[in-house]
Amino acid sequence: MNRGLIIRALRELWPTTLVLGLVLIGVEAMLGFVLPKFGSQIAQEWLQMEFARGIMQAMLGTEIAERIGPQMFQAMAWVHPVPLALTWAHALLCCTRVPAGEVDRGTADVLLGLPVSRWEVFISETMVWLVCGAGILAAALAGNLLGGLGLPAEQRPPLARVLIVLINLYCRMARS
Amino acid sequence: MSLSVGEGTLFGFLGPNGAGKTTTIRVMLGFLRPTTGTARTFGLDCWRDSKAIKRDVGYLPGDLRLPAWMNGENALSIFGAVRGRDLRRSGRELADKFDLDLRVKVRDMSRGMRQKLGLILALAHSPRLLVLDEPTSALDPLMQQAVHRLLRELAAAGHTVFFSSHSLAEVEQLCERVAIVREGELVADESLAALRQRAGHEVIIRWKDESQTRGLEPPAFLKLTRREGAEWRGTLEGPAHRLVDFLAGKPVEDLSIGRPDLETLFARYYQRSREGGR
Repeated sequence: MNRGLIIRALRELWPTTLVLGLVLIGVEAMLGFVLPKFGSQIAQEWLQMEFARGIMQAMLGTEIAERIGPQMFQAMAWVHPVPLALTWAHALLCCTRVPAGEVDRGTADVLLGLPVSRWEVFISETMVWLVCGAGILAAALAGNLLGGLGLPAEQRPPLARVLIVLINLYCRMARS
Repeated sequence: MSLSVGEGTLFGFLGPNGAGKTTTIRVMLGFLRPTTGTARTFGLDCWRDSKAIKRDVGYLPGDLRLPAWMNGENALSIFGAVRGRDLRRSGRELADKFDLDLRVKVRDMSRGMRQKLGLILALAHSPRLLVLDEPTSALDPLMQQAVHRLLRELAAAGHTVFFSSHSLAEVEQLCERVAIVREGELVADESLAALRQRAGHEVIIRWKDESQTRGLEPPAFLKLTRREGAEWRGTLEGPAHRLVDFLAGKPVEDLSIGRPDLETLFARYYQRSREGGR
């Protein structure tokens, strides 16, 4: 890895990461706070609707209505389309800028004219976008924890479970 | 292509679009692996040791693109960090020479300003070899003169300058040695003086009376390119006294013998190589 390449890639990616990170903090905090509140009301409705319970049971192969609670609704903050779209948008924006975007934007020639190997360019820039991806998910986690502060302690999902979700999400982002 | 450039040379590399100039440069810098043969810079293999070679090389690509958010100051610190040395001081000195404000962002720069920044980044670490692909294409004549001065100073100090250009006049003004490339093959590689020597003299003979030249055939050493009325234009091969001897006693009104400019040379080499290829 090369320090100069890392600085360059960081300068390339930090505005996108900062903006999307701030948006994610806000969205996750709102979802983490609002969804469990709606959730407890919806759960009660579900329990009374035989037809809806039957459909869900047929779709999922298990009876879930009685397990619907605030924690489950808070977990939805991680599969809600808005945070998912924001995390994917970040991954796409970063990966199309470094390292692949260097060729499209024509900046690869200047970069390869410097005393670095192709591997150094690839590894340094990949490391930077992986770190930025971790930063984005850390922002989402911060937002989720922030939203959870407005809920009673027993309604908050355990941190260990949230981390499992985050690691899963991170691996999928990195793989793509 | 067989090409060798000695240290401290101002070397002009000429050829039209698609001739292989940029490909040659890319091979030299280790961007491309040669399909056949070998390429060596500073005695090192261009592909295998490209990183070591590029420590002592300053490169300005023909189509220079820098990230839009960059300005001169942070370009110098980033390039310095990549090279492991502080380039800010030498960069500022060069910016003063080129009259460039290093605080302006690339997105707000004109093409000429970007080209100046590219030159500063290529020169800031005082490289042993400077590879410049069309370096002055976007610069005004005054700035071109400043670049030429600087390149001459560098060559005088023992730096090698590999100068690829379409501008024949510029190469003629600047370079000591010239190579002409066509379809990936060298058609000429020699000093500008030798190139001109070999290319012969441009001759214009104006006769007093057209009627007196009827039936008069030019000697073998004078290749006529145009014979129009009382005027002959052609190329003299060999020493000029043979022509003077030939013309002695003949009704000549005016005679002009001169060296061809590089443009004519280029066209001639190209023509010759095309004919040879057929």
